[in-house]
Amino acid sequence: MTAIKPFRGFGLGLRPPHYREFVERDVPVDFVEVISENFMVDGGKPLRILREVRERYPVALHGVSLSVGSADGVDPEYLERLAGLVRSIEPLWVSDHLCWTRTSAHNSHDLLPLPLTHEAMQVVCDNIDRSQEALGRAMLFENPSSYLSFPEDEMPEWAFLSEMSRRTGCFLLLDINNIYVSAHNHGFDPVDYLAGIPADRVRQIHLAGHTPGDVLIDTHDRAVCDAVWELYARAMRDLGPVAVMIERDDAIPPLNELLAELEYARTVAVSAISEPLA
Amino acid sequence: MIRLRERQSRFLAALVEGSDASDLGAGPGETGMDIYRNNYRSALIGALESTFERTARLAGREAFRQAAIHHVIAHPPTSWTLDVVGQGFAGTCRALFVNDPDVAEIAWLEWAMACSFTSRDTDVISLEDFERISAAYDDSHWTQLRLSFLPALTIGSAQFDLTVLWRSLAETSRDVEVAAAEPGQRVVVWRDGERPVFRLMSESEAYCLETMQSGAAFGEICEHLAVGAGAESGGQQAAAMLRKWLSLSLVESVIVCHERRKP
Repeated sequence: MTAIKPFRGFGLGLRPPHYREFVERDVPVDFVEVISENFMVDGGKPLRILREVRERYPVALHGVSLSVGSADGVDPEYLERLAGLVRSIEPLWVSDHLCWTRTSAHNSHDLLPLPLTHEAMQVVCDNIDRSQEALGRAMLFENPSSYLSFPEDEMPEWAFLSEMSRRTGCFLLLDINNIYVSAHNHGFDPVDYLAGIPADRVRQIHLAGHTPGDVLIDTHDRAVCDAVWELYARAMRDLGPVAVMIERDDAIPPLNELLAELEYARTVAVSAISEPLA
Repeated sequence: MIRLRERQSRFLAALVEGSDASDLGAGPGETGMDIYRNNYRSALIGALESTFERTARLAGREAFRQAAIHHVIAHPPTSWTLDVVGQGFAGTCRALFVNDPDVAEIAWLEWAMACSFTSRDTDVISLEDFERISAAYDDSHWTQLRLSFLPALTIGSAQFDLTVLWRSLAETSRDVEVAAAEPGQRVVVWRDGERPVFRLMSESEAYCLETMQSGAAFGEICEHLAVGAGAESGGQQAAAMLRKWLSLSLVESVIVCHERRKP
């Protein structure tokens, strides 16, 4: 199974309002990330655009429907489609989420929370093993935002991710905003979360905005907030070379606005790496 | 301790059917479940709104939203892709907008266009290609000629003038123009390059196209047309149709005597 080499760089998610600019000009990013499912189609314009983007930039595939937490297992048709896309695009890496989206009866099309139990750990590891074998490569898995937890939980999420990575050889995509959102919603300290993550397994960082309120909601529809920038700076002090990306999925601004935010992410990273931990 | 499969089954039931979720424990609790319920509902309705923009304009936003909610409840998604959430939505509209059959018809058209957008890429046989391929055909070749059409070529009924209706629904600022189609008209949808397109077609031609699409030989449509017009005229009509289909770039390959030819 191919491991994922460390990659230091700053990228953006490829979203339809920016397709033309990514294809027609040299956008100053080190990589782009695309939503895998948007391109797991038979043909047509989306695949043509992805091929053109791939000719100009390294591409990472980021999925939302693998559902490694499903007790009913991963969907073989989905895996086959994903493997086909991986063969044709040759991405930097393939990522998805620590979550479940489906049972054999229905699909929620949402990243649903897992009970953090030893039983779920076995299910997740079996599904990751099957997925990585089908793709012939190690994958990345992202910590989700969550809005509820379960009475049967047996470990914190960071311990689950750490053990999952150790057992399967998968790597981690650390979403700093998701850590912040879940910490607020469940009342844990995000610094404890960062301390519990094995830094050498992290290959990518996501940064995004959320909707404030009594319960924070991960909406990806606004700029990254100051508290998440602070948490990002703390994380970058401990991590090795990683790929950092700004995610925006709603209320998508002009590309230059996102590039300015990405530039700020670069500045914060450089500053954080050069400063000793207080 | 509740097993994972049972937990996930109960959780999805709470999302899809709105069943009780009070056994979910710590954290924001019921508020958290409400967020997941809202995410589920809004993702599916958003996918329908995105696929059926013209249908929404024709039905009216609120009526469309109610239809979308009804569809999501009646047909909870089973596939990994949101792209198929619109499957069967035209049927939902047919059942709900009984007095406005134009709503279901435009929904059918939007769905066929959406399906063709990401259909398999393929080369097509041009009229010139076909003339070269068929230059040495004798009568038996013509009789046994079969065609393979574009993967997303779809034929439907057209009670309404869909060309006018489609155009009038392109912008919210325009008045909607609903007019009956000529009796017996059908509508054919396919992808021209990267662009989904459609055109109205006579009942006779659509029947022949549908018949050949289902695997019939050219000789069979010649015989069908000869019934009303005589052998010579029927053959000329079939030849004219074949030229038109090739000119519209609908034909992917030509099969004669079990031999498939591509350009």
